[in-house]
Amino acid sequence: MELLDNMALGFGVALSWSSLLACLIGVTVGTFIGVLPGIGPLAGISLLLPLTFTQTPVDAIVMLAGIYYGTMYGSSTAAILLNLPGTVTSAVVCFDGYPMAKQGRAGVALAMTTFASFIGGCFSIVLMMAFAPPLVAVASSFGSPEYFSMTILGLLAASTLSAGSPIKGIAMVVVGLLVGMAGTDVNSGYDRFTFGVDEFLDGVNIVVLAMGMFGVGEIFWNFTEGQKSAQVEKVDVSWKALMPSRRDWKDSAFPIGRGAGLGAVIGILPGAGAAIASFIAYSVEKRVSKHPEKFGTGVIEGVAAAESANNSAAQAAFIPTMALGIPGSVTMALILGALLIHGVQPGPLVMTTNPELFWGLIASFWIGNALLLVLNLPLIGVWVRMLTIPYHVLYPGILFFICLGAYSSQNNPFDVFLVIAFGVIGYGMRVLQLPAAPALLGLVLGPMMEEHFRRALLIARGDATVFLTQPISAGLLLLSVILVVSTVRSSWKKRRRAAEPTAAA
Amino acid sequence: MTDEPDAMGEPDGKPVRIAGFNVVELVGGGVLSAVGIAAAIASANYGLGTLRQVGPGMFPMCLGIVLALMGVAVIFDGRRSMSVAPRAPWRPILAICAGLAAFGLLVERMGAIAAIVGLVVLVGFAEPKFRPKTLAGIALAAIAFMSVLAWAFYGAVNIQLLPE
Repeated sequence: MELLDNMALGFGVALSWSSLLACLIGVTVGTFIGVLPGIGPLAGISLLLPLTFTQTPVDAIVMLAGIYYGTMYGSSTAAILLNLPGTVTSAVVCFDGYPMAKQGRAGVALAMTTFASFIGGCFSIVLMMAFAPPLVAVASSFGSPEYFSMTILGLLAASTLSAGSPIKGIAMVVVGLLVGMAGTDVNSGYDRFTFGVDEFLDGVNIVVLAMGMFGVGEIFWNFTEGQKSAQVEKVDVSWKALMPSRRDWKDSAFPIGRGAGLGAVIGILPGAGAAIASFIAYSVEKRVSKHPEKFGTGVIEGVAAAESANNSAAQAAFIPTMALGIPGSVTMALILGALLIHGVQPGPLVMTTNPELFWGLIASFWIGNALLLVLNLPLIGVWVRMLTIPYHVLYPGILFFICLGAYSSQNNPFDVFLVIAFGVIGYGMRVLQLPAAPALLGLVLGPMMEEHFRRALLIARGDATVFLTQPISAGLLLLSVILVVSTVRSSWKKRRRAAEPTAAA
Repeated sequence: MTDEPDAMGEPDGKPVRIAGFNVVELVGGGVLSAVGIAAAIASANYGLGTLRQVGPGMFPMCLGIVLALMGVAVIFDGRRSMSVAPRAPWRPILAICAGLAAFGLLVERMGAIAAIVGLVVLVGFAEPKFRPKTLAGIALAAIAFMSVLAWAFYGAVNIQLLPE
């Protein structure tokens, strides 16, 4: 069987010492970053990206991916113990996880989220093994017009479906695309948007931008909001307290299954990331439950479904990223950027030109999820203690890693100053409530999008209607229009509803 | 779904309005439009080319025009917005920028150890209370980490610990 051969190849790669080490470092650092409130997977990946420059592309992607799904496992810890989500993806876990902790059932909640995460993750890996090859077969028949339209759909979906105003999301994608234009134009050799600075000739370094906006900008924001003092609930981390009872298992089985399925579907869609998946899974559970009124008071179904869904979605997000080269979320865009830095052009060709990378990554998912399951339960006590690190110790450390990462990526002090600039810009955007994440997505996809735009027009001999006369491309564009119109309309409706009670009061 | 993840976090307080427009949205949309217009003007000089042979300016020109329009849309979309700008924490922002700048200035002239000390001491002023002991501990840990890194990845990580 072909799949078996492929998996044998994958495990051959992923079981090498260097890949195993990369996977172990990735998932451990990921869990650590996930546990700490205030730094998410984006900051974590951008901090460690420069360290991967010495590794092979396979090890690099294995490690970065491990950080990503490791944060998904870790982020529920802070949600349960502090009522403060480690990352936005586990915000829902607070609803029932924190009440559980107050009832002295924190151990059970932590253990169940680990199991739920594991099952959700595994579900999507199977899905990726099954669906990536046929998806690649379809995608390899795509030409430039189809790619251009698909990129538009992906960008619009990612920017409108996330939280906040869809109009601002789209505007920030355009900003990102424009930033992506900076540097020497590959077709004409013309320097664009470089302001006469030599360092901009190769374009804006994605690591530096991400570290400035998501690392430094985030620290500024934490100082703006004032730091919440952490009151960690006491947790009994003995095996007896951790192990869910038979009743807990029975209550959680179906929610985990439904969460995994929902998460996978939502994760494959561009844009709707892990955060949205966990929200939808939670509300579905509430609807099908026999006792919906108990949700929010510490029922295990809510915790299990949300965790299973966000891990399933996180893992499924790799499907479009690896098979089509179109990242569904910002974190995926950063991983895609990392692949580009390593000289691998993600897309349908990866499976044929770098099969060891593709299948090695999938094999590493199995290993990484198993590692997380094995490591997390005994280490829960350690993660709980991590939460007591005060912020005044944390932020100088984070800033040190930012400096190290920015400087060592090209051994140029200029990049450190660029990080300051992007940090201030990122903070300013946050104050103006303009989301920075879509801009990063635009930055990564900008050059590719322009290239397909030009090539499509060249092949069509300057006929701009080519995007509408090719059926697949026209369909994708039609979908984009429907998507934008419907999300903008629903956001208006929602706001009008929200404004009414305030007006009455 | 009524309670979506709201990454922005709405600060409390009354929104400031000018002629009915929320100031936060007005400035945000204005900045977007200004960037769009500037990009479109710059692109015009890059050469638009023809549809058949697209020049370096055409795609950015389209983006600039779209962005300028989106900026206007943001302003009008935000008329009913209740957004309030938070009070900027000037002391932490200045302290952190100064610390990062110190690292950038010192790392090649004086070596990484001096750069780390400069960074940690300056960012320490971001807190209302300066904590010399905690900061010394952090600086020592960072220097130790950096030394191990420079030693273990010799050749790959080219960071000078001390001035030459």
